[in-house]
Amino acid sequence: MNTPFAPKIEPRSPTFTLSVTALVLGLMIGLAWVTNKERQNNIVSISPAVKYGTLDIQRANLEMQAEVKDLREQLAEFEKAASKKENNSKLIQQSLEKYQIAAGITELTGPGLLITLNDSKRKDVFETETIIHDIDLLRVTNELWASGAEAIAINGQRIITGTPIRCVGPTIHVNYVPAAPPYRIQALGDPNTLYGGMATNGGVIAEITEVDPKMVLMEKLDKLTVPAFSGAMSPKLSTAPEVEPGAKKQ
Amino acid sequence: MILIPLFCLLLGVLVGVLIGKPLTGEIGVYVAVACLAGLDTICGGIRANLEGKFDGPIMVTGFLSNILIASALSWLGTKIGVEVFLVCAFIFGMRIFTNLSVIRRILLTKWTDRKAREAQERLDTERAQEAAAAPSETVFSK
Repeated sequence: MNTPFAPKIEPRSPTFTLSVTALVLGLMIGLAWVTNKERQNNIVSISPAVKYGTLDIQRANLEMQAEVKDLREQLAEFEKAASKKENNSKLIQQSLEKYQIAAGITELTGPGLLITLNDSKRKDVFETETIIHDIDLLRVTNELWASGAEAIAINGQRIITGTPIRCVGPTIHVNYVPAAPPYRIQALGDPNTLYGGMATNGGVIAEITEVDPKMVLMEKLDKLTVPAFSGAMSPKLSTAPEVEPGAKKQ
Repeated sequence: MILIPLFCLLLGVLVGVLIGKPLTGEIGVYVAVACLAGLDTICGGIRANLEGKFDGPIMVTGFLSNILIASALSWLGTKIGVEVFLVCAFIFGMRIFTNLSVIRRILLTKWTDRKAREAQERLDTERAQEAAAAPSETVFSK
């Protein structure tokens, strides 16, 4: 019978063929059946280990920072003990302190300048102009060094020789630590000299205050404490060449 | 019996969902495109059946080849950076709509035809009864 949908199911009848293909199609639809939630999970496709791994890494980072601090304190104690034992090593101790200060791994106190940079609330200029950018912090830091700063810290992060200041998404990272406005830039040195250096016409501070004077606050302080660098400093690949005493440097 | 393929479709969906993890990501896209191809072929099969042109082997081979070609093209598309699965979705979607509209027209025509035929038959029987009641006249029924 060629009537549509014959009542009996015979092999090779349209109903049979359609039923079999419909079964296969249904199976496929069932397999492709994804709820929106699952699809979203799949699109993001970040495994929980990675998703939550950043938190683990952050925690591990904090722990390691504490460890670094402990070890440095221990080292300082050993050095003190050693200097007491031998008079000769007092000189070594002194030079060590000098280098430690230069390297930025000790806390430092002294007079200085505190610059606070904040985003502007102005609405009538381009939004990019109202935001403190990484380049602003870099230029301020640079200008402070040039004005005779002895130590600088931004939001509690000590600036050392290898400190990166860079834009990472919505925040600025200093020493790989995110910093958010207001940015407190502490600089040790003669407050007046630093202030004069920073207030130069056409300098970076002048450029920022041109947009909004409220973005910059500079305070001369008699006593400032700059924290020690708390990250790890261990060169893996470079070594210093051994120089024999008395040998000429090439 | 239109219900048997429909029942099979539902059974298949049920088995597919119960089978466990749904296919997601790229493979999910391929299977989804293949689903559209299969749906189009089945709609085409029903249409051919209603038109009296149904051919089992053509239907089965069409079903399989459409599915394979749609998934293969989608796969190729992801490899060469062209979103072919959108093309597949577009084409098969269009064809499903066309097939369904043809099916609707055929069923509608059949239904109206049957109504007209029944009305005609009723009219004929009434006339026959009238003719039987008045035997003096000769009635030539259709």
